[in-house]
Amino acid sequence: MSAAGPLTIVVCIKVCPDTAQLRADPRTGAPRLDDVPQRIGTFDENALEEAVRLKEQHGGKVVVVTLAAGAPPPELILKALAIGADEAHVIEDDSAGGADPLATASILAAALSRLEHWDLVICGEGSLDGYNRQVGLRLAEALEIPVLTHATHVDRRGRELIVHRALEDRTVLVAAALPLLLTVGQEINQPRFPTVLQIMAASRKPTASWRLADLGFAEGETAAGMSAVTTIGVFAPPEERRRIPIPGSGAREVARGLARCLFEQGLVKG
Amino acid sequence: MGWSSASSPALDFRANGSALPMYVLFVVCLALFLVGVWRRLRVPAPSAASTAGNGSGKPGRRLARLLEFAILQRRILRRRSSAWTHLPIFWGFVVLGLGSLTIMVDGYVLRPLGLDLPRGTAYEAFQMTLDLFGLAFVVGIVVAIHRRVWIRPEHKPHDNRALAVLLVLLAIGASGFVLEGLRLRLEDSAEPWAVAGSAVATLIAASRLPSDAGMILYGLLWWTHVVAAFGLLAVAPFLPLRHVLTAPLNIMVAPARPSGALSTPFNLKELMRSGRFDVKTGAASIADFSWRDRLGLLACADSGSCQDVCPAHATGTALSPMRLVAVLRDEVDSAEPLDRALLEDAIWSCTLCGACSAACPTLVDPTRYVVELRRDSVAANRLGQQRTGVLANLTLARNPYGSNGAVRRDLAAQLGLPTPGERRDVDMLYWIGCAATFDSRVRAVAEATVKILDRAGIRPGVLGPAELCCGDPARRIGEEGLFQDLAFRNIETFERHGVKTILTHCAHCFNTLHNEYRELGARVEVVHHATLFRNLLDKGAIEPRRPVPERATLHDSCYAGRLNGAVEPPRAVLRSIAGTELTEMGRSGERAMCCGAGGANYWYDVPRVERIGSVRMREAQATRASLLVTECPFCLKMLEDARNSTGDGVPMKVRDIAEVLADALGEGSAT
Repeated sequence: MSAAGPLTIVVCIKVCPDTAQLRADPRTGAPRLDDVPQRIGTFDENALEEAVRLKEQHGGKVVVVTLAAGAPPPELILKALAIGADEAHVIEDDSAGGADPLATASILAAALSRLEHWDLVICGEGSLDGYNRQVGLRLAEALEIPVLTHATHVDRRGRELIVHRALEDRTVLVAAALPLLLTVGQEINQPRFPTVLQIMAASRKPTASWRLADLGFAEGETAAGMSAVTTIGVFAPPEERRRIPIPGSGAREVARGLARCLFEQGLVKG
Repeated sequence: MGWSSASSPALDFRANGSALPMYVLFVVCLALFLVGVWRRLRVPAPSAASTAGNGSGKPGRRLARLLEFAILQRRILRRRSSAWTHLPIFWGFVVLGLGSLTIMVDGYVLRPLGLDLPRGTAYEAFQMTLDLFGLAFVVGIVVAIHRRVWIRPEHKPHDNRALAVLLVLLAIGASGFVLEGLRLRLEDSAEPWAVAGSAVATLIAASRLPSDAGMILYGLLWWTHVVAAFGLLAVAPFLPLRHVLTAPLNIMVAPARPSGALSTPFNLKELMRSGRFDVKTGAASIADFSWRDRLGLLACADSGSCQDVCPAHATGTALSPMRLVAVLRDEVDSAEPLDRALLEDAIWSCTLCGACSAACPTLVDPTRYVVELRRDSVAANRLGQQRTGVLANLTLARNPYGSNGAVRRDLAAQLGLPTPGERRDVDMLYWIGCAATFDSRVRAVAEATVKILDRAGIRPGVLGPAELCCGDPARRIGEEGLFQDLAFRNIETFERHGVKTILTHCAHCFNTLHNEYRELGARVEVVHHATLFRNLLDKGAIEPRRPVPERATLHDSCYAGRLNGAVEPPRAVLRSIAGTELTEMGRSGERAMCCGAGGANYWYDVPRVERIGSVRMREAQATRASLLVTECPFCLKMLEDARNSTGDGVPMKVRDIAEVLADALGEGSAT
């Protein structure tokens, strides 16, 4: 445990459909969500992993907060606890599926202000499904704390964090005093994979669930209602492959045919 | 050894009081030996993490194994190079040991009691036998020393201790003959039946050694002989020589053939009922291994038989099963956590093909250690990105590809097979497997299989989206809980739909469903497609009429062949096809080489010099076959990849046995 004392770290996660398994309806192009399982967003897992590593180094605790439409699959919250979170807070709102980053950030901020104490908030860079990359920034704004995005490495120096931020062509080292909000991507770590037994054993850890009214929102207020953005539709534009067979025997002949075809299609200009 | 009966009073050490120190030395050395054995086997409280597994068998079976592997030494005889050294050393050791015991009993027990062994023809034959076996012993030792010092085979690393043991054994053997020769010379007796001793006596006579010098030399040599023999006994527990004791013990407790079923450290259903999930899995230290696994470590005699056949070692990975066992053996009396830096890359390089286990002369199974170490790595989150990805796919999508299992419904429709909701009569469940579902190349195997079944009048049904991964990759990576989660879900599906017979074209699915689901309570009969085809041919239910003019060679999958013994059915199928000529690779049947996919290796990359599939492809090409036949989708993929990346040689067709048979039934696409 470090001399600078333990850290209480809040990690905001989002339960999303596993986009790797997402298929579009062949007629409408709309995503078929009925047969796709839910998972914790990939960047959110990086955020959680980093929090747990900091806790392992400096002591303290990790608190997971999520906004979900109805109760999320219990195994996902247990997974977060098995990775190393000490408690989980689930904010349930039936309209959360329609929440935009503004609404999500306001609700998370309300929840965080009701937590006893925290030193650091870590969010994923963006969610797995919406990927607006705004919740972290807006949450920091709402909490009135500094935010450092694209963190790829974190060291602690007393009440300060030294954060490596990977920008396009350079890495910037920033020292920032706690409390602080970080957003992280895949570069920062390799999240651990808890076993089935570890996930089941995590059911001993505490989980609390909240409704918007518990967080001080007025009766009748919903996540969707607080949103400034309305989603009109989500669909996969049809992709048509041209399926051009290139005849020929032997690599040389086929390669010539391919080259000719690429010129003819205007894909290569010579 | 040659120190036969000391009949002359001058040479009778019992008479001049030298026997007592010898007895004392013997007792001390024996005590040291026993302390050593205890120290090596005494390990901190055994943990329940690793189960003893299917080690045992009935007493008759144990004795049969003892005869086959410890006395007749079948697996040593299979390797010609070791046979020529181990055979004479072993039999020389046994016969001389028994002979020396007889002489000791004769000299120090019978004769003081006034009894004496009759010195007739039988005794002369006994002396001659001792001399001949002694000669074999010395020659064997000399050849072994020659191999170690001058030939230096790859599996015999430079080891001063092993060389020292050989030199001491040589000293014991040689001093025995000189002693016998000296005795014959000093007693001035002629015992021509003691062939070696007499020869030495003749040499001594020619050297005109004075008789008193001879007496001194005799005393010195006698003590050298005794001290060397007893000393070796005292330090044996700390040397590979210990296998003289540990190998027979291990042979009696270990199974004779590698098992396709990994050990089951817990039952997930029972844990869920009890709500206790704090079960330790895997081995973080030697203490976590069962006593049987620790005995296995001590039974290893460094023969290198495992390393010779290991596909991971042959392709330059971090794994040598011999070195893995040696590293663990060095820690055998320690309860400290194992140094994982030495082990991590090695354990992930293993394809769990079982070749090492099937080759070991003392029935050590290195794969047991790999599995327990992997389980520990999983529990401690030392997985790396790719293996984490496989487990994440298996968790989220319940298949290793991570793709949406809903496509299984579309595939059922494409194959024209009913899923459980449809009310149609089915004879058996066709387990499609993840490979045929998500890999279009393997889908052709399922299509061919369905055509063959149709010809035979068999009506298969499929599970559609209810079919999940059998769990093989999860279990072999070491995530037992995830394996059992998948297995119990599948078993529940079998029960819900009254599944009794399952057909699979995948050797891994076959092994898991057939061997591993049983322990979790499944009551289903599982048949591998090659076996079903053979049975259908035997019954005359299908008749391959269309000739398939190919020179074919069969790549046995490890999980159907070596681990389940099904090497004959695919060959019978190929032999039934007109025009197909079957030719065998150098390594085939239960000794076939792995394709590189086993042990979940298909799903992640292993740092290596060469791919296993490429080595195997060269073996196939050496047969000059035009067609390489597989019986497992992962072998098919690995070998096809190897064929595509091997520029040299004639391009060889790689096809599953179902595709070849469907052709011969006039159903498949022409080759």
